Amino acid sequence: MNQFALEVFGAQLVNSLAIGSIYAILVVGFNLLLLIGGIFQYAYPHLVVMSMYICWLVLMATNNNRILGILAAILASIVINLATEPLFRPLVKRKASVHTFVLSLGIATIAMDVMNRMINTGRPIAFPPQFSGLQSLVKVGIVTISIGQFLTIFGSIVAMFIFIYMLYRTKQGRAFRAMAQNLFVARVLGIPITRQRILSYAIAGLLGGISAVFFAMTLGSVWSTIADILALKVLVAVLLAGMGNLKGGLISAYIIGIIEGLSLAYLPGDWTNAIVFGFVIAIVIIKPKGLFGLRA
Amino acid sequence: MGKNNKSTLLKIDNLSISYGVVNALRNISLEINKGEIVTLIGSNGAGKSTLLGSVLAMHSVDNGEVIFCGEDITHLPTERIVASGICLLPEGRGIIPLMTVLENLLLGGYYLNKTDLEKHLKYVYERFPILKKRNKQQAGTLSGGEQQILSIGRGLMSAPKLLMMDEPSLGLAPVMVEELFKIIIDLNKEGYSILLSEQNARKALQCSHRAYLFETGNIILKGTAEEVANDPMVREAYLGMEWRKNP
Amino acid sequence: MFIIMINFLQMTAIYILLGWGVYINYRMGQLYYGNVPMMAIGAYVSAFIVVNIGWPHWLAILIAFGVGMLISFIIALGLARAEAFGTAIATMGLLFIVQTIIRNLELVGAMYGLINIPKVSYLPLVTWATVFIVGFIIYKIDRCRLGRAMETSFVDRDLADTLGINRYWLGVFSQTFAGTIGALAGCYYAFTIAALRPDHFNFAILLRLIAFVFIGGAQTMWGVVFFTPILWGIAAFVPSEIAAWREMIFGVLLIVILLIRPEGIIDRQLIRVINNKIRQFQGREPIGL
Repeated sequence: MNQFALEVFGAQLVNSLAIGSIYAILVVGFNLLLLIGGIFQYAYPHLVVMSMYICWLVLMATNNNRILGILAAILASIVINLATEPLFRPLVKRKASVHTFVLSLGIATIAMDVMNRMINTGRPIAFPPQFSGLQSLVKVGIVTISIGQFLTIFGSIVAMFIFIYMLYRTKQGRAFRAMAQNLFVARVLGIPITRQRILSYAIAGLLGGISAVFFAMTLGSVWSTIADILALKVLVAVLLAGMGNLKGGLISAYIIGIIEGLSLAYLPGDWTNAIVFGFVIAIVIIKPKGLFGLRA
Repeated sequence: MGKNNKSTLLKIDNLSISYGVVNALRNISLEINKGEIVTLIGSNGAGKSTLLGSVLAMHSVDNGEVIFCGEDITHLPTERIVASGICLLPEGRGIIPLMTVLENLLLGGYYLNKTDLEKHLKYVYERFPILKKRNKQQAGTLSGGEQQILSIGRGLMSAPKLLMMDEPSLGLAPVMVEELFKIIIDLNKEGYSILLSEQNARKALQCSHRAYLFETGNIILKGTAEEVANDPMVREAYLGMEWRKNP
Repeated sequence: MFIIMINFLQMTAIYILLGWGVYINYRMGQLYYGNVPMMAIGAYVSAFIVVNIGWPHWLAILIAFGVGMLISFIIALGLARAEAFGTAIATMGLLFIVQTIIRNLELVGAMYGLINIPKVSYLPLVTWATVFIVGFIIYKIDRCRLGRAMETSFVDRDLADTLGINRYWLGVFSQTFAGTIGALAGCYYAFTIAALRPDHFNFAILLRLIAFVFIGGAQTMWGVVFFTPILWGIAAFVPSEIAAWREMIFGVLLIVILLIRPEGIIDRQLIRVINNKIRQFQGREPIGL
């Protein structure tokens, strides 16, 4: 019995890490849009789910060509995110951050409607097993994990490392960090603010596309209503760490992943999300500035 | 006229800027020639910072022109203006606290290629060895004087034609202030043209060629540094010397 | 046709009440959506009382009113401290939690909902009477010290603090107020629709609400009043092929408004202009702009 319980726990831990990894990427993308893009993009996960839908469409059209599917997801995410930039620009110029939230809700509404009506007549979509890798299982010690989960965890870590490398070792990354700390000085130094903003949308889109692929791999299927729930959970992680706190955000993403994974395992299904949201309400009440406070 | 044209580095013509209903600058005209140190003096809120910012197109202009090396830069985007050779050391040093000294310096050379970047960095390190010593340190942990040096070093990275400094002596210890103005004079001797905005009128006027006096968005006095320093109103209000009527 | 008209009137009234709840909190710079979960609670409580306990409608509404006020007060105690995005996300999460609780509560029919709620013939009268009363209250609040205090908090939080305005209790008040009228709206909803299901109270209502408030204009209470019927009318009276796209139409309209006129269609300037025209007509002095 003990062995079995341990195996179940191990499997759930792996699941939590996979979920947490996806949230981590989304938290990074969201914070990037928040700090550099200057927007509160509630619809970020909705655009991710749309990319998953587009990936699925491409897979259906090309007879499950994995490479094309992945490329489609990433490209779609980048393009859609970039397309929202001009919508936000007048509000960013006015520094009306609350209005950017309202705008993002509008974008979310449209995205949801597109997915509900135009793609697969609103029914859930299922990714073919070769793509999701859910069937291929690997035994690591006593734990069995799927290829999809393995790729997600491993791939997310790689993505995070590349992102941090970009942030600390490239010119644009330094520009991002300068803009996040003092926008006036960054502008005075001649950093091309608008170009950097658009770049942040593109990178957020790239991250979104990558997480869409991983999401498809770990979940195997997706339905449009998951977008709102995903959005809330990502925002939970963001608020938990303190808005804009990149490093804290990564940690809290995994915390949320673990809470969710463990609730999924040991509590009746419906309550998992409710617990996560109850958690955020508690955080907002107890520590409005997040566990780690506001810091770039 | 011909010679004047060639050596006029920066010319501001009838510039007016307002924030909403508040007039920050009213019909400002001034110029800087190559190799000069020009000082703007005046109290807080007189418009000096706004003027320096407006050279870099940080504010929207109601009317007037800013001409640099003969080119109209009034409506160009800030990054283009900076790339064409004007550099502003903002009020309060403007260093990025959570980045290292080296990273701050690299930001100064944003548009340089790799070779120029290394060359200029070497030059800055030689000129200000303290920066090399502290190059891996977080910029926010430097002392006020060191931050000012970092700010200057960062400005020099882009090898600007015109160096603008907004209240560099603010918050510095007297010893550091001496050091600062010595650096300013040295830089000028090396060939940098400098536009200075200062509340420490005495020291600023001592090292400048020409000066302008700002008050509530207007220039109410201009001339050589000596002329301005000897003006009775300036002596009383800004140099702290009693003004006695000639008997 | 008559039924459609009644439905339209009812839903408009309900959304106006909900919209005012968002408005009164936005006055302080807070984004509060707690009135939607309160609507769910109000609806289920009043419906449950009428269907399962058999008490008269007015008693059910009264009890739901009390329950709504209590719960939103308790929640407001915690949330009034947080800043805009925090309250928005927390209240959205709250909606989800309430939905989950209802979905799992066998007592109220879980997924299948509560049915056979008897209709009340004079319901529209009561509903709209509520709208006028609440509207009058809000109108008065806007003009008295409370409203000015909220205005100050919105414009400059630190200034408000130095003026001795207690932003916390102001926030608790606004949130409780919004939550309570949300619960009321829920009661009217239950008695109009006659059958409740947990997925009635979903994010779509939230998004619709935000669209109505911000398209109409979140700076004044009149934006909600005029544009809720217009926008809801699109949903109700337009041919069904177009009506199916209504969420998208709302979303697009919201985006367009935010791009060209972020204050909303009816903003404070417009109100002043109209006010002055009225005063001119009455022969009185116009107020300076």
